[in-house]
Amino acid sequence: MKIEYNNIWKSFIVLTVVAGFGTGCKKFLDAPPVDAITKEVALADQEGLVKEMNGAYQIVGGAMFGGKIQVMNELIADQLDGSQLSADFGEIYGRRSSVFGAYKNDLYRDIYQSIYRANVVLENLAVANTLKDNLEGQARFVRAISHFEAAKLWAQPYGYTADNSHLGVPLRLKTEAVAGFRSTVKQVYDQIIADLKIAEVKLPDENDGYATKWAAKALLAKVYFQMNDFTNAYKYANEAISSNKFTLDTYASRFSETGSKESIFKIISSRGTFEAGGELRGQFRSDFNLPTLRFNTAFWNTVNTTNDVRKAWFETVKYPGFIAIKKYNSDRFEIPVLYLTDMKLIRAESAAELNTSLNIAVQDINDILARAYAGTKSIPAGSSASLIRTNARFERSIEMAGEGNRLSEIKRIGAKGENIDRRGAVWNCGGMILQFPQGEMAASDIFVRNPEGGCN
Amino acid sequence: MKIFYLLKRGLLMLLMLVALQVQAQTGVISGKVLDNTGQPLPGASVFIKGTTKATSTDNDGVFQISGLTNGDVTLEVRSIAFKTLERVVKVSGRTEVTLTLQSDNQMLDDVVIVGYGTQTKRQVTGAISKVTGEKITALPTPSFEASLQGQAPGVQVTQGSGLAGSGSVIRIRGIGSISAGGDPLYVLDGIPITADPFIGGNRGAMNQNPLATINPNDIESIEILKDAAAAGIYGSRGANGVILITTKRGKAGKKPTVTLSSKYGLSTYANKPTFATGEEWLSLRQEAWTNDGNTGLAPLPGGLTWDQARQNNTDWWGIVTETGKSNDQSISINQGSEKISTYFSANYSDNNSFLKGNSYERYGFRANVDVKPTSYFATNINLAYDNGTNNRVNAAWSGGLGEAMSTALPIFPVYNADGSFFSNGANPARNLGLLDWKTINKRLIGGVTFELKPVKNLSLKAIGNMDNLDIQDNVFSPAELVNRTRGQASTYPVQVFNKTVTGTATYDWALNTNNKITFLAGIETQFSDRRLYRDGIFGDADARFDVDRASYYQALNAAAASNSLNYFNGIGRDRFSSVFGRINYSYKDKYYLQGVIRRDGSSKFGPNNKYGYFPSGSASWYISQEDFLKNNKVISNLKLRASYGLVGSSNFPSGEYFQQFTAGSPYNGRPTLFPKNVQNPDLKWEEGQNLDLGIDFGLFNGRISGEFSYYRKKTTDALLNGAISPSTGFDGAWINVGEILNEGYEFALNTVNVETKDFKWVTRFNASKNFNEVLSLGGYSPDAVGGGTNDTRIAVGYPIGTNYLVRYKGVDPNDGLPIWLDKDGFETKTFSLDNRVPVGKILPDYLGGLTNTFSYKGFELNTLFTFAIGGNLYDSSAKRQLGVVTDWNIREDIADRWRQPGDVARFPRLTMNASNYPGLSSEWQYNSTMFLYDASFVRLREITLSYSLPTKAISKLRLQNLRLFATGMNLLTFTKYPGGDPEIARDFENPQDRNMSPNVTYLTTPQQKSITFGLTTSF
Repeated sequence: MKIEYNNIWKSFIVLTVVAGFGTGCKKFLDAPPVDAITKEVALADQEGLVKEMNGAYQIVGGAMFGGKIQVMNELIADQLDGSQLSADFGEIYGRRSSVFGAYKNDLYRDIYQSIYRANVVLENLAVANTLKDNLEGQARFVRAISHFEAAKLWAQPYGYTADNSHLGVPLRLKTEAVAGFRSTVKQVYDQIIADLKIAEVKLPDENDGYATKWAAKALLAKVYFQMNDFTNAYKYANEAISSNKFTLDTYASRFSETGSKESIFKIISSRGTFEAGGELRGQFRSDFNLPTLRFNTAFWNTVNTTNDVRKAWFETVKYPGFIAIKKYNSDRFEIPVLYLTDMKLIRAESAAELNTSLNIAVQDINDILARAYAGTKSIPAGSSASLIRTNARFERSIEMAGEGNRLSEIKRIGAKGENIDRRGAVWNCGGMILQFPQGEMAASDIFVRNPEGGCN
Repeated sequence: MKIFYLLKRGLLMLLMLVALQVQAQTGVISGKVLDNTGQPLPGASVFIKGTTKATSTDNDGVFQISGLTNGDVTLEVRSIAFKTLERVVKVSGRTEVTLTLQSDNQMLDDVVIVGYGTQTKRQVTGAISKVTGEKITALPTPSFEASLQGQAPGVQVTQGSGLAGSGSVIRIRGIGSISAGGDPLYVLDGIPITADPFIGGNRGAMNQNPLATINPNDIESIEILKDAAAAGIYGSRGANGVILITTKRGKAGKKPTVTLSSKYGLSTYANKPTFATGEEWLSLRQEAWTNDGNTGLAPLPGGLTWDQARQNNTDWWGIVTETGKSNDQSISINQGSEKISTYFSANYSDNNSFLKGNSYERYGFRANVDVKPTSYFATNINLAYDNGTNNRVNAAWSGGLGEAMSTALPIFPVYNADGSFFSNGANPARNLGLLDWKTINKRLIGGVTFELKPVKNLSLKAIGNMDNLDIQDNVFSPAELVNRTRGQASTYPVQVFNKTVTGTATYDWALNTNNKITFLAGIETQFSDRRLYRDGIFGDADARFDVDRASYYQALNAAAASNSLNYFNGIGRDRFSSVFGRINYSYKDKYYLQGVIRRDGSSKFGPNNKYGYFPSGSASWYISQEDFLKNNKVISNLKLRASYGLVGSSNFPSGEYFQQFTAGSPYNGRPTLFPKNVQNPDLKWEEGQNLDLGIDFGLFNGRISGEFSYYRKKTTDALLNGAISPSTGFDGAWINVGEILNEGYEFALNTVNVETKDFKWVTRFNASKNFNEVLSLGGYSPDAVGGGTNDTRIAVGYPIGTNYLVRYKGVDPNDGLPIWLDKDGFETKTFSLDNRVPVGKILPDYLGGLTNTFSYKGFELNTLFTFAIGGNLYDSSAKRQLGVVTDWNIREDIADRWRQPGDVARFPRLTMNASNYPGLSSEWQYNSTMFLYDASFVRLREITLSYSLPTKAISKLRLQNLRLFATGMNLLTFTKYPGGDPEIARDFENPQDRNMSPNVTYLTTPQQKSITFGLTTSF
């Protein structure tokens, strides 16, 4: 038998050529990852920009309103029973957060990541055509809601100083990777309002699940309400309600997979791909086990009245001695972020504060009462502004329990001069706001951090 | 695929060659090889120089080579631990010779594998440690690399844990990386293999170790390349050292020999912390409650009343552990003729760790074939398939034994009154029966080499290698476990493709008898990438997806329908394109010089730094060959060596240099796109400037031998991934800014203490000292890097992995509150994270191993002690186990605590509220020297007693040898650390964590302690 030396030579040469293939071939070494594309390709056209915008919602709906915003706010507020909370939750509940703590620091980074994504859209609007206004409106809406949530958690509220010159949070209006610095609270709120006023004009009436003109208005109502600017709060809440696009819905529908008719802006849940509310289920869900986050007796006593149908929202039997919430007891649900009940309560309380349009306010309150007490409770026509306000605040505290609203109320009403914290702290003590992540100080030695503690 | 084509072609050629007929020639040499005591020497290799003729001696030291042309031939005889013998023999018909070899305890003629070739130990100018295969198989470690512990100076091996298949952290001559991987480069038979523990993702507090698939029984030797002279040929990937793994091959002239090895073992945990019992826990809780000024009974976690709690005293540790069992069987057939040598092996092993439900089951096959049809052409083919199945359990933060050490309290029951699992608190027993988690690694390693010698002394090689790894991670959680109406399954399939193609040319040029030069030039291209579903596949199911295929396809379809499949073919593309050269010059076997250069281009490097050059130079001088020492009675060998050069490290993700936009999971059923990183077009390798100086010595004809080395490695452009303001929306970006120094000494001493006809006592000792310091961080503060899961930092002027903690002074006897030291060293009773200072280090000062081997007739007793002295251990779980009383288990050390005014105690008064220690925001922030321990330990890593049957007996059994043995591993550990095992490589989150937090424990699974019985035999 004869050896085919030609074949050996051929094999040898092939291997040698392959071995030398990369050498001197620069293209071979430009191997961009296949799961990523360059900025130029990603943002080449409107389609890319639409996807980028959707990426921003992914954060708003996941890392933020998927539950961490609500959990964080509830922890600092006064409706939870935190006696057995430990670790990050114990620290935040104890109103003494520090520069560390992944739960808090990750939320901070994620809020700013949503802003970053919105800024990418705003910086590249030139490639958009038919959706240019729509995308600008959405990006500004996302940037506004994110700055708003960051400001509520990391800065003392609007009204803490007379001119709001106290430090707020970093305003990020560009994508550049530079060290952060804190703007004043006035600058932050001015920017939020400016963004929303542009969004309100640029956004359409209907937007296929994304932010609409009405979402911008509803958010404006919330922002102004937070600032105790009742004229504007009334104006925007009224516009949202008067659109007649939203109707009061059942309690069961609020956190349901089919959604609520009340929703003005909601987080959409899609089976298998984006099941919103994981963190809400993780911390509050009570149909299987005793959840980590439970409510305190003082709060339960406000719900536990004869005709209040909202008692059904609470689990008080299964785990003796504990009060758990049942709002989030299902595998999948949508999350209403801005919805009609809230708007009605804002309109009613704003009217009461302004002492105008009281008849509308009475009707708003009675709509809420009728549903809450199965028609057994109402306030009379011609009720006083103060009665309207008392009812608005009382029902809000129950209606939005576990949704992260209570802390905003403690601060808003505190800034108006009335301390309502049931845990006995002052509304503006240090620990009522969160400490900035150590990374901010590590990246810039002039970054001013918050004073810690002082609430106990 | 080209590689497959080439492999196929190689195999075909092999078949052709097998059919070749040996042509008849005339002369025959037969003979006998003896050792210096006159005993026959089996297994010695006998070559006829200048031809392909070779054979090896049988049990009686006898050999025969036929087919020789009459006339003078040069016989060369080699055997490990003997000096190579060359003898000119005149062949005339049938010729008989007797050859006696001189023993050589220094083994200067021993072959050492170096990058892209071999050298004799004499020719080596760099720092290389060799560990033989039998050392690797001596211990039942979860993965072969753990067996390197204590075997080579300057090599720190921290075994992960006793989890089946667990990986180790290996650091060669200290650590020169921060955020990028600090692991050495692993090269198996010429291919840089996949060794990244994060390659299949990071899940469940245990990193999947790809090295665990490799069959240790196939390993012939491991060479550890430590300095620039040795590792420089690996250019931009050699800076953290290179581990060359060489598998066994057939030996020319060896009759077909079958080798069997069979081992059975039992294992348990090497160490266990002691926790409070149920009753103790309750009283500690009550004490804290009362201390806090409360009255009545303290509230209890898990929704339990005091009456219910008192009924329980659950031993969770006992529930999740059991006696581990292992078995390891291997068989190999080894033969060699003049033209074809083969090594075939098969192995099966099943290691059930001491954690219930946790095992690593492996089987594999290997075929190594060498064919040498003519004097000018040779080829070899390697093919190995290994299959490793890891039955996984939760550990550390993820549950299981981690829960038994943390939140699974003794007051919690396993079952509710109705028989269902208790689920209002941690219940690791519930997971035991329910969680079904299996990771299967399939690995195919293959390679083919063609070697041509077109003219005398010139060898051309073309080499193709591949290393394909398929990782299937399947998890199923039944409905009951996940609190959903149906069970959930997830899978993360990853396939790793890794190919290298190399061409080398070697030319030996002997100018005259005194001056010899060897040239090596080569080119190499490596491609590596992966196929995977980036976000995994998950969905409702009734069993693991690899079992419940219907649900798997449903989940796959659902993901595809919603555009969230995120399947990528070719993700993580790493490409290297290299040119390298090496020149070795020797003069009179006295002076050796070596020059090496490599140019590496890589797809990881940014456009501004696409290529790196890595030159090194080295020299050695055999002083003992000089006339004034040549016949010295005491000094039999004295060698000086020195090397200096540049080496790089490129252990960071590919494609980080430009801004990446990537598709995320969809929102609202529509695709998303998001920016992933911050770009850096200047991104490049880390660069090490390495100096090595060494002395090798041998005294009394090698009865005493050893080496002493000094090294200094300065790393510049060390990569940081961090240091960015979080309000940019990112946690970090890759930048080359750090400077790190590693400086140290290594010492190894081997002595033959006693050597008589029947009794021999040999001692091998090695120790090294490393000094590590971060020289520069480019102006960033210690908090700019670090954090994450560890409590260590990088601070300028301190070693990597500095414990950055508040200093704890002690307890104020008056009120039982802790006293701290502020930044300036003044006492304060207010805790503040601003008072953190560098106070300790995770790196030991000294480490090493001491082996003693006693042999008497057929008996052998081998002991290996390993030690690490001088580092610190930070017990990150202790701050929860010994701090504020929460829903965690409490360790028994808490007995030494303040209870009433006047008490002098180690731990402060108990409290249930962190803020009762002024300034403390949460028990997580309780990071202080209170939990910093001395990490020094000495452990009896190995003790083996073996008996080899005498020649007469085995001849009767028609065997070549038979050895019976029993091995104990980690039977004794000496440590001051009270919290469990002092050897810690915790579950890591990323490469930075691997660099910075070995020796930081967090519910880490202890090492295993085991006894193994076995036998090996050949026939």
